[in-house]
This record gives sequence, C-alpha cells and structure tokens, in this order.
Amino acid sequence: MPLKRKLTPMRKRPVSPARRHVVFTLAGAWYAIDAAHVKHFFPGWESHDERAAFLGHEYRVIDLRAAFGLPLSHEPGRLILVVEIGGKSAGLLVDGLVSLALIDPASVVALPTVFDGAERDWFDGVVRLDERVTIVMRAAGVLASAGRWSPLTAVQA
Amino acid sequence: MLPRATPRPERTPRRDVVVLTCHERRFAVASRHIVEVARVESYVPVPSGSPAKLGVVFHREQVLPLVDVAPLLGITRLRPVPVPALCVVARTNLGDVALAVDGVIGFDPSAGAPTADIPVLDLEHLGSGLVKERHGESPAR
Repeated sequence: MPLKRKLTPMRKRPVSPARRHVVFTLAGAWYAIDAAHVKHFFPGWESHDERAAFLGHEYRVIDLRAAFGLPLSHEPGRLILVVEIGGKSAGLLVDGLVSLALIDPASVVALPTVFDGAERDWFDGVVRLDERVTIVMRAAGVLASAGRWSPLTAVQA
Repeated sequence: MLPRATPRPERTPRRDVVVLTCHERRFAVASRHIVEVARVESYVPVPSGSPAKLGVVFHREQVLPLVDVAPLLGITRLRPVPVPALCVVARTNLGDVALAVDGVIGFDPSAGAPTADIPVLDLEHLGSGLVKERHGESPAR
C-alpha cells in the first residue's frame, strides 16, 4: 500500500524588520544611515568644496561636521556618501566608514524629550551596535534641512 | 531657680535643597527632584543647537539626556565636560535628566541661614527659563 505523505505547506520565513544601515564616524561618534538611501560613496576632500561630481552626476556636498556644528576637520581620508531620498540627493561628507549593520527599528531608542530642536528631524534615536552607542540618522530630515544650513554654523577646530 | 535655657537656634542643614558646584559656582536643586548621583564613564554627543544639551548616556538600561549646567547658569565653559562625568540624575518636567556637575556639596550647608547668592535650578520648567529663584528668596523659606 503506497504511503500517503501528507504534504504540509511550507512555512514562510518571517521577514525580519531589521534594515541594513551604513555605519560611519563623525567627530569620534558612530552614526548609522539606512543603506537603502546610500547610492555610492567615494573619497571626499576639503570640506569647503560645495559640489562634487561622480559618475557623471554632480552633487551638493554637505559637510556633516559643519551642518551639525561640530569642529571642522581637514584630515585626509574623509568620504562622501551619496544619499538619495524622495527625489533629493546630496553628498554627505563624513569622517570614515565603520561597517554595514542590521538595525531593527524596534531596538532604536528615541531621543529624550530634552532634544526638541532640529535634532528631532535629523535623528531617529540611538541604538547599541557592538557595545557602541550609535546615533541613527534620518536621511530625509537631514536632506530637508540641507537647504537651510549655512557654513556659519560651523565651529572652527 | 535656674533660668530657663534659651533654645539653641536650629543648626541642622535644610534638606529641601542640595547644593552642587559647576565651574566653582554653587547652585542648588530641590532635593525632591534628585534621583541619584552617579559617575558616567562616557557619553554620546548628540548634535543640537544648544550648548546645554551635550548628548545621551546609557544609565541603568535607560537613555538619559546629559545636560551641562554651565550654560543654564550663564557660565561660559572654558573646557569640555570631563569624562568620566559626575552627574546628578534628576526628575524634571521633561523626564529624567543627567545634569553634568563638578561637585556635590550636600544638603544646604548654610544651616538655615539664607544664602541669597545661590541660584536654584528650576527643574519643573526646563526649557522655559531655568533659574527660578535665588536660594533664600523662595516664599517657602
């Protein structure tokens, strides 16, 4: 008698809500940005250059140190992350890359209420990555603020 | 008949405020706001428009904002907040906050005598004018 095997439907593997993020450094701190918005990265240069061309496209360069009011850096080896979201794009000048990391949105702790200024637009919160507290950046918020930034906000090192 | 001894003036320190120091300046915080005094090993700077908002610290599995008291007292800080940083974790209208301070003197050391030159940080209205009163000017005293 042939054995009748009962076919059980394959269970769908649950989709992880974690999203891949590019982790980079800025003034000694770790930041993460959703990798879906990062199109390329290429070597950066002096932070006073306002535009950069890459693969036939020209991008406005935003030195995140200047934008966030951090001390400026003229160290070699800085990188430009080309970020694109909602039809807007820009090159974000950062200090260096750390890694790619999966970040579950549920593990991101929102910024405390005290932070009630523009930083609410720039950052989703903080998360622990390899025992390092990492600031999770909101690409949309940073690009939206880009038009309002002025080099005068920069702090000279 | 022996004369009645005149009662000695109260010499015990008031316990309604704790006196702290920042940049060699004294200031006070109502003790009901204070959760604990802690030393934090490091903090993560969070860019913001305010020099008082230094960043965040992970303390007892909680993310707390680290607030520099110096700008709130009108002091221009000449050197960055050292790490490890001495902090007073305080309950405020904006939730628990770690206040970076230089030292803790303790309960009001003036033993009841008003010391009008010590500002009291108003932690119930953070964000809307932080120095409420001068210690000794409070109607409660």
